[in-house]
Amino acid sequence: MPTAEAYPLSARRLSITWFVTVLALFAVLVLLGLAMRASQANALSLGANHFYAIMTFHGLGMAGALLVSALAGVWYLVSKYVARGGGDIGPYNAALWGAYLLTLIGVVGLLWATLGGGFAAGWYLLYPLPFVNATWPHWSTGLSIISLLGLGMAWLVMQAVILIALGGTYGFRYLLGWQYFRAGVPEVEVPPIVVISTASLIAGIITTVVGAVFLVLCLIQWVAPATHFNVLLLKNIVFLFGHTIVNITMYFGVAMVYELMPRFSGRPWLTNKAVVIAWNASLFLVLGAFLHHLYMDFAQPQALQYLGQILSYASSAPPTVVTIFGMISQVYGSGVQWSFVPLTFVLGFMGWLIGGFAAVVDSTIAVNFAFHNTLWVPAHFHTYFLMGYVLLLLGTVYFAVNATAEKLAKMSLAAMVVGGYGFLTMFYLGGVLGVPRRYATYQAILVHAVQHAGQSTAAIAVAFILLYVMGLGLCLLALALRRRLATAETAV
Amino acid sequence: MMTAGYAGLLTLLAAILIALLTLYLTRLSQPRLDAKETSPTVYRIRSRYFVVLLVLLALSLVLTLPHAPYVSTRTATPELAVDVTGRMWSWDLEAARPNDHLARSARGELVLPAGRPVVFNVTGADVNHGFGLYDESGHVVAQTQAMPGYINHLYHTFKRPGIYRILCLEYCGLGHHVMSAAIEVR
Repeated sequence: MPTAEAYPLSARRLSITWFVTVLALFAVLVLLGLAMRASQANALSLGANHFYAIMTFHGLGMAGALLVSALAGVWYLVSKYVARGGGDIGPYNAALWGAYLLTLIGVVGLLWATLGGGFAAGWYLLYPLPFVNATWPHWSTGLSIISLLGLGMAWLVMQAVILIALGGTYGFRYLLGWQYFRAGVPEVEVPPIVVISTASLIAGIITTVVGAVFLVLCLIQWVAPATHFNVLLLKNIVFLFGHTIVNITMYFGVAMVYELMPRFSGRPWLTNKAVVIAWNASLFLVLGAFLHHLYMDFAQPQALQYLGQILSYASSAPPTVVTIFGMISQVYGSGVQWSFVPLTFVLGFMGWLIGGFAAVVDSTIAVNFAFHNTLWVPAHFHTYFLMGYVLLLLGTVYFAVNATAEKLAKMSLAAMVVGGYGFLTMFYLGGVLGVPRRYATYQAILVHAVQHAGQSTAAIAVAFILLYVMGLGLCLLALALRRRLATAETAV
Repeated sequence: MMTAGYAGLLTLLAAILIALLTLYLTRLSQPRLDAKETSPTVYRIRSRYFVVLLVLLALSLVLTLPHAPYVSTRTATPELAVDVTGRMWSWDLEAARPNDHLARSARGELVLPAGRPVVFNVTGADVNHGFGLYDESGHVVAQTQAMPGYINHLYHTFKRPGIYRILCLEYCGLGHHVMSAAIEVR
């Protein structure tokens, strides 16, 4: 049984604190999601003001919490290399604890602004929505912007710290693995988690800065209401930020699997030219894929629209092909025992592929013409997260905390997978049937077929979410049943 | 209309195939073999799969890009023009050219003819909205964003008479879900 003993205790403690916090928040956000679907099914009456405030907190919370959990996971796994390379991980841990504190403050601020103040502009807020005829108090918009700036700063710190730590360990010029193109043995070998994380961190840092610029502009607008910015430009900016952040969260999850799967398969998963090409390509492609969010903005230059489809298609291929076949190499004839952790990894990859396929379908302009802003959109990114990244995270956390309740964990996984895919199928079906996303209720829709489709798919979804919630509860219980580490390799 | 159904079916089949392959993969772990034996097979399949995937993606691009709903892909010249303004939380629809002589139904809905190309000049008066055009069966037949400061030109020819509903397809605040209008097509 592989153990988590090889990792520096201080980084482990830090990351586990992050994991516990994120999973607690995740559970609350899932319950809020359940409340929203129940409201859409007419089984619960939330009222539009509460629904949209919950929707805003649910979206912001999920996107942010899962990103920081991924960064915490990557830090936990690379801290071993940083410590082995002779680096003092103390200052990095201190900076990450600072980011943790900043995140807690930011989350409390958001909670206050949304569920307390009624701020309901959505998780990707489209300028100038929060500033025109807002039905929520002015202060809640300001508090949201400031809280988001705080969270953005925390994300920037986390990403920068990990990148600096890796650069200090291997040398910045080796992090993307370009040395693998030279003849002979590379002068510095880097594990795949470093190459993937570096590519994702660079994309993440760029877009976090872009997101911060957007928020500063919003802050200016909040202070000086007469200010006006270009709506289309800000829409591009907000999607560059939002899309990339969500996308790299998945990539960090994948990076964790590259690092951990060999512990179960007994086979190394090494960096090679294919891995380097795929993830270097993804660094550039992921930054352009956001353009597919603007297909229905016909005023956007058409060349960018076509580029959006080309880049979205292109970004789907390199990382998935290299990773999936890497996983096949790990599994085929390895004798791996299908315990909870490797199971979450293969099932998480399955969710990544299914969600990715649905995303590619929707990134086809002609298809997007029918699917844009229907339930197909939340369907694909919930697949990505719920049946993709979150499973990878749960596997990583199970490993990190040395959990031992194998049977309980597998039972929980079965409930989560059945509940999760049932819930997602209702989203997809709703999308095919033209049900709009982000509707507090379908009662007012005068197209009877759409109203009926919306309500009935939401009602069935509620049953599946309940099953998922049960599975999640059992999984959290399984994670709590762990054995203490007997020894620690590095007590730093 | 048909697009959504085909896309949904294609995704369902892909999801089933991915799930079956995942199940198959878990069974491939036994019996234990030397990685030196298995790796060449995996890499050979990977190269072929990558080429096939690239060809499929390129083919899909070539086949689908010409169907993008933009001005350059439209061959029919619009015979009628309608100005559409989305505002919190209602839609204004008016004839863009007085000479088009567009009628109103008894309920005050704009009346448009079936079979004649129409251009909708869509904008937003306050925030972003989404102009989503639904037929009576609940299919999204056309859509574009209604954005302040910009006019999006949406070309559409109504194939069948009936009441077409406009729903908002971009979240625009607390009245988003009640933002609706209708067009009668005769």
